[in-house]
Amino acid sequence: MNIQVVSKILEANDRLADANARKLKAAGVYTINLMGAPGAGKTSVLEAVITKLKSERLRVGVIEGDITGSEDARRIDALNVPVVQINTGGACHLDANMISEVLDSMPLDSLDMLIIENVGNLVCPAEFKVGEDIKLMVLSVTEGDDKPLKYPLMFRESAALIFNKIDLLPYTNFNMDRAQKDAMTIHPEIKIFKTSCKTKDGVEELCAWLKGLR
Amino acid sequence: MHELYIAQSILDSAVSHCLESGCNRIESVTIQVGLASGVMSEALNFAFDAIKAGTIAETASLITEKVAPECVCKNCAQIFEPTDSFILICPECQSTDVSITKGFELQMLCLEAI
Repeated sequence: MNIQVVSKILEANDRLADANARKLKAAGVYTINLMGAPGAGKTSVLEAVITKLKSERLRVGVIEGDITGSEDARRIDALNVPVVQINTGGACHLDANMISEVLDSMPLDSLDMLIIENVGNLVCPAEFKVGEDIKLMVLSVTEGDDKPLKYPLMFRESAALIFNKIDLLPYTNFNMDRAQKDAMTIHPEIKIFKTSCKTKDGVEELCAWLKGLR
Repeated sequence: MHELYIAQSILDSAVSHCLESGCNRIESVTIQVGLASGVMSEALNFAFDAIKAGTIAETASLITEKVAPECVCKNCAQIFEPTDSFILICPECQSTDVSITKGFELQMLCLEAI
């Protein structure tokens, strides 16, 4: 017997992601899925952004995704904002179900923005919706200017690209013009920021944009 | 890594469709995978074979229909295949206002069951 099915294979994930999105929207929370390679500086960008946004009375909460450990959650907790750590136990990305399981432990009604820091990876996180309003990616200049061409999906999916660790530019052969041009060819509308979490360069511009999203 | 998760979704869905149709054995499952979806069909087959043991899909084969990426230029309506890196420039009018119409598919089409 031939059974016609025609259904999206990730439908179960998409359904859960939509449910998460509805819940977050109902609570008035703007949600960002933060992605990037291990060591790109996702957590450092988060720390810089949260410190600034907090001083402007924006209430931010964080979900930290890592394969194992709670180092990132401890760093965010030190800033006195609500944070939950998810350990994927080996999985290379967060999926909608993992987020749905921890959403209830976040004080959604007293948050303006939720930032979900995905597992460090330039491939899989771009393929799984978790219920976010936008995806945002961090690329550090030490990773190389060839990344847009090597991982195009991530750049296509991200509303904004943060070039991080720009204080290190003089010590690398990173060609900013090339990286920026390639990223914008892959995704012409991508918004670009250049930050250094060490010198705090660019953090203000990034925060102003984030605030405007809501 | 996520191919295992996807294989499990395919298996779960196929099993429930099979049982709903009053069948109790799956012979094959046909899926459609866009070449830009980021899913490797070899890894998917490997994962599917690993998890089907002991289920009603134990002897089932996974048949993959691959779909090549395709773009449409919004300026001149030219249809073209993007480069590997998804540099989307219309070869006809050089516009970058392009939408991808094929290549991200990841869906189950049908299954053979008895």
